[in-house]
Amino acid sequence: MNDPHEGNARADEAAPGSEQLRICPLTDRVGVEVAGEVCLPTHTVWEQALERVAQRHHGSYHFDLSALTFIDMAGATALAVTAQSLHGEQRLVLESPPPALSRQLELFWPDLSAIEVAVS
Amino acid sequence: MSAMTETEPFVHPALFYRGEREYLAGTVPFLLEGLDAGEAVAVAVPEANLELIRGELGARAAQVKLLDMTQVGRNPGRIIPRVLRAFADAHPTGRVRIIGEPIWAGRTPTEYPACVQHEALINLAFQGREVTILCPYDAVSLEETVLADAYATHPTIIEAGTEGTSAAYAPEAVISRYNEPLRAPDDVPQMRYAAQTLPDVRHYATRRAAALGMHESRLQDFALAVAELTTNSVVHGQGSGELRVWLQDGSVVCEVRDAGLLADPLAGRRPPPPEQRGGRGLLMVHVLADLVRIHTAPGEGTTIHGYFHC
Repeated sequence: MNDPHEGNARADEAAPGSEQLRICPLTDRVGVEVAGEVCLPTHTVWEQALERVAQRHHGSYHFDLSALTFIDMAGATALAVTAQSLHGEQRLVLESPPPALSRQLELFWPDLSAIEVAVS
Repeated sequence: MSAMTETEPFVHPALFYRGEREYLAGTVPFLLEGLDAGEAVAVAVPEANLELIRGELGARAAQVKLLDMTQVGRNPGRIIPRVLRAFADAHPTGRVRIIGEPIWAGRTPTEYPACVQHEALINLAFQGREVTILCPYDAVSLEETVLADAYATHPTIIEAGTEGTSAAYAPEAVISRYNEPLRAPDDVPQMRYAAQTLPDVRHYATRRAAALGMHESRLQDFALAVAELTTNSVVHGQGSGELRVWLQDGSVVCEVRDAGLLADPLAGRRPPPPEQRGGRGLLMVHVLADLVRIHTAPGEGTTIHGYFHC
């Protein structure tokens, strides 16, 4: 741990963004399973997924976040901004979000009614 | 009303007090005046002083928002966005009256520069707002240099019941004077990072923090803070930076160093409107950390130290 040579970023750990975030459709309800990390290298993938949600016009859209290991402030912001753009009955249902995400949303968007948190 | 308050609605006096009697005489009538005028009133001071005020206010304490500053303002960098603006913005009509005591005798030499910069930044953050923030200073326990700084960060000083204009008022000079270079201990290893290695540097920092004794419940906060600081380096600091993590006086300290310049002194201290896309990273770091120290200068780049109690 204290080895100064650990100070060099190792190329084998630096996977390209798309491999660090996997987004797959859910089979039994409308939505996606999100696995991995939302951070600068994976923002594009995350935002593309959110854009597809915003284009839907009815009902609930589920995010199974049980395998989401990290989401940064920009990723949480993109989620909140998407929720703000929804109309009528549209809402985002976050399933098992990491505690840090719940905290980010509570801190900056405490009144966001279009996001529902479901803890399984 | 003085001529000054007619032109500048923001009022920011320091109250130099000696003992409990002067403390209560300087604070409680100020609060009651606000309540009688129908103003929104809040107090954020260390717990012992909070209890004094609560006792003296009696039943009227229920009309005042009372906060322990050693908790909500432990990191002085979050007082403007999370305490002062949070309260002022929640009461957008009419004058808002707040007592804020961010500097007390127990503040450490590491904390103090961030505290005094915060006091100076209040003047920039509330310019033009119909807000009064009274800042008590313990004139018995605090050092002379601290009281001298209060003259530079407050346009008016109240002492022994008398209010006077501060001739030494110069908040920008204080911000600049306490923009002190920051250094990690010599033997701390560094890790360089750029856009594609942001996840690696976060994992590395989090592993280091865990090995240095940070409790598991804090590691997620720490990881998020590291992510925000290093991402800022990549986005605003010429694409790359260096990170170091070490243990100091019971805190894990994370240093992020890059070639960028943090030109806006209020960066990270403005609560963004809910629909705004960016501008939350550094604010989040201020919320998560127990202390944030910043040095930024043209040609020298930006260094940020975030302190996290284990």
